Amino acid sequence: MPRVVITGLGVIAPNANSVSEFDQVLRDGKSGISFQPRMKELGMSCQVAGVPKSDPALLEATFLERTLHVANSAMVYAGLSAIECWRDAGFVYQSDVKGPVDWETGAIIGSGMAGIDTIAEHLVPMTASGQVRRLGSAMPEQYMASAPSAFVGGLLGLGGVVTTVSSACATGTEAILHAYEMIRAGHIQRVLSGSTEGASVYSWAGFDAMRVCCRVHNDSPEKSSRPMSASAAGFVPAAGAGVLMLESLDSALARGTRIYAEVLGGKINSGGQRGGGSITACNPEGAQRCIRQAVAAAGVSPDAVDYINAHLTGTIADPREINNLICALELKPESFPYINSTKSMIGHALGASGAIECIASILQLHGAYVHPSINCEDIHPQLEPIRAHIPSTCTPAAISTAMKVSFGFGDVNACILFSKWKN
Amino acid sequence: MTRAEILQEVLGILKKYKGRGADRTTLTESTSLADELDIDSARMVDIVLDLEGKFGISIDDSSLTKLRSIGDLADLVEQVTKQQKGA
Repeated sequence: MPRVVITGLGVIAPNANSVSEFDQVLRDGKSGISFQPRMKELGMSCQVAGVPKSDPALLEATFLERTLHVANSAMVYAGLSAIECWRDAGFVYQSDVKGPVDWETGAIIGSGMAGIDTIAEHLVPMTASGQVRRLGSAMPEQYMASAPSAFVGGLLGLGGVVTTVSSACATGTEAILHAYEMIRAGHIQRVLSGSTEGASVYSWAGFDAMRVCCRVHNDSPEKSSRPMSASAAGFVPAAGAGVLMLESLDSALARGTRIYAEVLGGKINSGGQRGGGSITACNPEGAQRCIRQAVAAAGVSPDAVDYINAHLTGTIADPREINNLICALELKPESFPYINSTKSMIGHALGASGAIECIASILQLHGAYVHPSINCEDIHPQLEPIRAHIPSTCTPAAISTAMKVSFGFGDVNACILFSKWKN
Repeated sequence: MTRAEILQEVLGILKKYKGRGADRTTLTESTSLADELDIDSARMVDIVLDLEGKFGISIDDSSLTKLRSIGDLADLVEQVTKQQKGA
């Protein structure tokens, strides 16, 4: 079966509008979380979020004016990330030139709820006030579940599979694994894979109502996302997108392109909402099986994993997640790999989190460092045994095998392993 | 409003609907909306809504399928304005 490698990256994150910026802010431990006046106006308890900074010059250079009229924030983030990834992988994109169809490249771009801003801000109010005729032509293309992948497919002329997957906060990692499987099965040579999530108070309101978002750091946003901390008080909602070019090794070598990493394998499963699991909680047995089977699928031993980019959102679930990792990998605390939470800097980008954090993992593999996990100086007492493996500053480290885990509502789990590419 | 003034307004509206490659096209009354400006039939709905707003008129949906060129848009505005405003 074909080996699968990563030949391009693209990201829009709350603290970076490109991969090179993201690499730097990860090293610097720079938070992208800020106070959101709109959340305050609406009386939400959590008033901080990780929202990508809009860059008008980047938008103008990337999209035609007409494109921006018919794309919501999840689509714009997906488009920017996909185009950066496409170019990073050595392909050409010009906003005003319609290139030919590329029959050997597809897009699997997931999202948790991509069209919610379109639905909440346009479709519902205009329909409810009897203005259906004035909705215009561009509603379905923005609120259909497959809006992000369809948007990317049109921008780049992709002729392979073009689809959207959705599995809540496991979406991004799952999308990448689906792309991996399609290439492994010989169905396609290249897939732009990843996920996106728009910036919408209407998405975040539901979580705020569940009392699972941080509400105690509205005046100190950069301190609000506190994975692994004793004072963690809930997750910080965020938005953005990450897209990775997965490619068969044969295709990458034939094109002579730069290779970042190899996808070793992974696993997607569910805990079945049994054994302590529910639609909002994780069955530990399901998560542990997912991790164990991902390691087996990757063909490595658990002690070969030398870095974990964890799901860790800054809630009461953090110690349980670490316990699942310890049980699944059967490692003693002293031999535990490096572990960190990218969410400590960017918050929880929901459906986009898996892809953005896979990109963080690959940048660390490629750049031989482990980024700091910020805001956990007061580490949770249950995590004290692995404290030495959680970097508080950027740590040079020749890591060669990285694991990314993602967990989502629906009791769904996804785990993927990457290895550093050595020429 | 003269034909030239209507045309000017139509061109202003079309600016935000032009597709890839359209900037390399010289716009005339015979310019094809689909072939030269890359405007598909769905977007004609939005152009008609903009024309209604700009000229204060109401355009029947049956007109949508007959619009092929920039000149067709100007013709439609002229005709409907005359019917509805008597000007």
